[in-house]
Amino acid sequence: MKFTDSTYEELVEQINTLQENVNKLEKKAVSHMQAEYDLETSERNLSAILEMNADGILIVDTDGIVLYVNPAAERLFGRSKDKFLGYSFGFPVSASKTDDTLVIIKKETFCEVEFRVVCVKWDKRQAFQLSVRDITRHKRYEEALRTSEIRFKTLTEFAPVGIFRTDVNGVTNYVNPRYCEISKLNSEEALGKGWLDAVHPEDRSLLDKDWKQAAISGSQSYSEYRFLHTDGSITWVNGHAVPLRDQSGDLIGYIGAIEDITDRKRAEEKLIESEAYYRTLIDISPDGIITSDIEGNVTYGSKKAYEIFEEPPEASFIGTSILKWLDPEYHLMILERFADIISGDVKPVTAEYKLLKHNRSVFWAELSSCPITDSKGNTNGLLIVCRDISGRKKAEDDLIKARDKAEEGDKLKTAFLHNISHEIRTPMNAITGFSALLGEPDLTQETQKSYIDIITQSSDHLLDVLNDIIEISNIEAGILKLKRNEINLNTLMGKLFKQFKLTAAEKGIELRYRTGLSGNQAEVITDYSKLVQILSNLLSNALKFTLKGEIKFGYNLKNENLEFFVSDTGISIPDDEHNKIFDRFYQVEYSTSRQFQGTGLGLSISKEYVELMKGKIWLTSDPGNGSVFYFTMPYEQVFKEHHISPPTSELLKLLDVDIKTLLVAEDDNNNFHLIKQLLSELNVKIVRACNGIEAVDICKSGLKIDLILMDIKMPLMDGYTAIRKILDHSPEMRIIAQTAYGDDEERSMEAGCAGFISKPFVRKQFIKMMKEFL
Amino acid sequence: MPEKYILKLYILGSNAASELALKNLREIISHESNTQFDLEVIDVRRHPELAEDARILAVPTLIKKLPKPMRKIIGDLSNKQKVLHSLDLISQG
Repeated sequence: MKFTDSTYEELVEQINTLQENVNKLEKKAVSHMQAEYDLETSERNLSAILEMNADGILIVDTDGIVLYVNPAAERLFGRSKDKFLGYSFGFPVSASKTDDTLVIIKKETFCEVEFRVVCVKWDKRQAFQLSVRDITRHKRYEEALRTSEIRFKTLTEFAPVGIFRTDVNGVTNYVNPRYCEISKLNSEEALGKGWLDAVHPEDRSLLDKDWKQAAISGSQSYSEYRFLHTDGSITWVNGHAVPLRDQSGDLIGYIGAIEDITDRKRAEEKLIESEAYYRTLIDISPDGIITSDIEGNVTYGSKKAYEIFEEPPEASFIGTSILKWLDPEYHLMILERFADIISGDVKPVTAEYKLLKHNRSVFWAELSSCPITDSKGNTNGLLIVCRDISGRKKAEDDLIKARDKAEEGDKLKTAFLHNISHEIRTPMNAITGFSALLGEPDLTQETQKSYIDIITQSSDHLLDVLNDIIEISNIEAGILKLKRNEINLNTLMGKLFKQFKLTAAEKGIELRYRTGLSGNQAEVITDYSKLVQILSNLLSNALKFTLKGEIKFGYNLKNENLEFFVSDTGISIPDDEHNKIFDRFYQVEYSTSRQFQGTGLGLSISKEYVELMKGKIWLTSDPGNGSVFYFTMPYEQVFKEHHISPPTSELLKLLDVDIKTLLVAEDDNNNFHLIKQLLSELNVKIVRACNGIEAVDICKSGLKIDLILMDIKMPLMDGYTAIRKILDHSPEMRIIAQTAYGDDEERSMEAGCAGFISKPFVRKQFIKMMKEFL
Repeated sequence: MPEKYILKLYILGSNAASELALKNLREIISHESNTQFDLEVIDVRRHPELAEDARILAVPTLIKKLPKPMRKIIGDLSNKQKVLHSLDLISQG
């Protein structure tokens, strides 16, 4: 081998090339080694993946012989690797696209698995990789879920409550049969929005509000609402709804339950009705109803109770002690009642109490009380029915008064009969007395005539008394009839004036009369005799009653009525006596203090007459100024004429009666005349007193009085009182009592009289007695 | 005259995959009118020893005893083409 420069150069070049190739090779080798290393790593990684896989993995060849099995597969099949490798597992044909199932035989048990097949290369050969996953547990979950669903469904199907589920808009997607029963909807109607149409229109907005509130607050809603059925009936339900949320917390709907509470609602309504019913009963009861607790504090008062106690509605009984409303006198009584109730006395008790109104005025009430018990039978209060019995009490009082009055009337009647005998005896005394005197010899004709006059007067008076008694019995019998007489009022006034002027003159009293009409206007139709009697009664009374001054009478026309009047200047009559004096027998009420001579029937008869003539009778009386009696009757003219003359008046003044000298206390003129006559032969000075007061005054005046002849029954002050007063002033005074009553002797002697003489007088006996005392 | 087929299908009672396998197999057989089949169905629950003998690891498993070579197929046999191929009833491809 010849080395030339060129050859060398070529060699160098070849060496370089070789060197480069060596480098390349080295690099390649390194890279290859690297690749081998990478492969090894990769395979190891793959192996680790297979080994660690949770699924069982088998690799089989095309004949189904097992080439590889991982630990998970060993566990799954329950056999070790050496019982797999080389065994025929089988060629997997079924699984290609979808997951398939196999049942693996694990000793005596079977285990369902899901398996998946992929084609792989194993040791450079075609092979199949089977992934096997145990789905038993999964199946079990599914089964459990299914069981649970069945259970849930069974539960809801047979639940006694209606169950529903809705979406967020309230569109129902599930209801159970009970829901349909309650709502009376079929399941098609109940699903969707239909159920809301069945809810009572008045309750829909409420329900909507409740649900929204529940959704906001996250709590369950509770509503009571109604289903309005197509037949118009109503079912009350209470509904609970719970908002449903997905995992992110968004509201996805509601689930809830409804319960039929119609019966309960009906019961509540009935209770309300029943309560209203009983409240009405309580309110319309005429009795007040009050309840209190066991300590006696008021817990309720009915409207009527407020009325009875006059408790203002804005005030209240509630909480006040019941004692506040009872007169203190009755506190013990009600406390005893409470004690009885606490100790178990359950009987209702009714008793009368004095109660206090709001203004503390007292009234009578009947309280019925019984205990209030709770549901266990324990007494926890008192029910009181309060009846105002003021009216009944008043009626009872009135009845007692009426009875007393009747008894009093009876007494008065007895007194009247007693008095009548006196009234008859007094004129009888004059008649018998002067009749006897007429028999005396040597009487002048004048004296005889005066005796006869007295006898006539006394007879007339006796007749009057008897007439009065007959009139009273007519009134009692109700057989009074009005007559229609045509009279002239002015003529009547004149007649009356003439009739009474003498008596008035004797007493020194002025008598006047006034006529209110003139001419034809005074011609009226009326019952003449009754009118005369009324006026005569009033005039007689006025004359008897008046000791000095004047008596006026007359009439006026007032509002189509004739108003008659008789005024006097006698003593006044207290207001409370104004009505009484028209009562029969009133004048004789106080046995001896006789106001008027007469039967005591005059005013009573007058009143009856006035009322019969459709008029009124009354009097006015000022203390110290005497009295005026008025009465009215309808004005009925005989001839109607329309001119009215001014009233005329007549006046007659009479002389004073001479005062004689001697003390004879005697109100009756005739008796006085008789006494004067009897005493005339004894030549004594006679001073007369017409009543007890005058007698006392005369005794006190300093006039020397040797003997007093005292009548017992006199007006203003009776004889007994006068005797006592006179003896108080002049203890030595000798007094002879003279009276018409039969039983007065004893009383006269007790009063301090020296003697007693009974009417009518027997002349000789009287003269003898006078002589003895004088 | 083609060789008679002896097939053994290992199943588990009323298991769904087993029933499907049996149904599929019967369908296949019914279509192969030219071939005589001898099919034995074995319930591994009733005859675990037979499964054990045949080294059955999972069901459904179909074993072709004859004609040789013996083949063992697992699955519900729903891939008809593959089944036919595995049983050498048609050539692959």
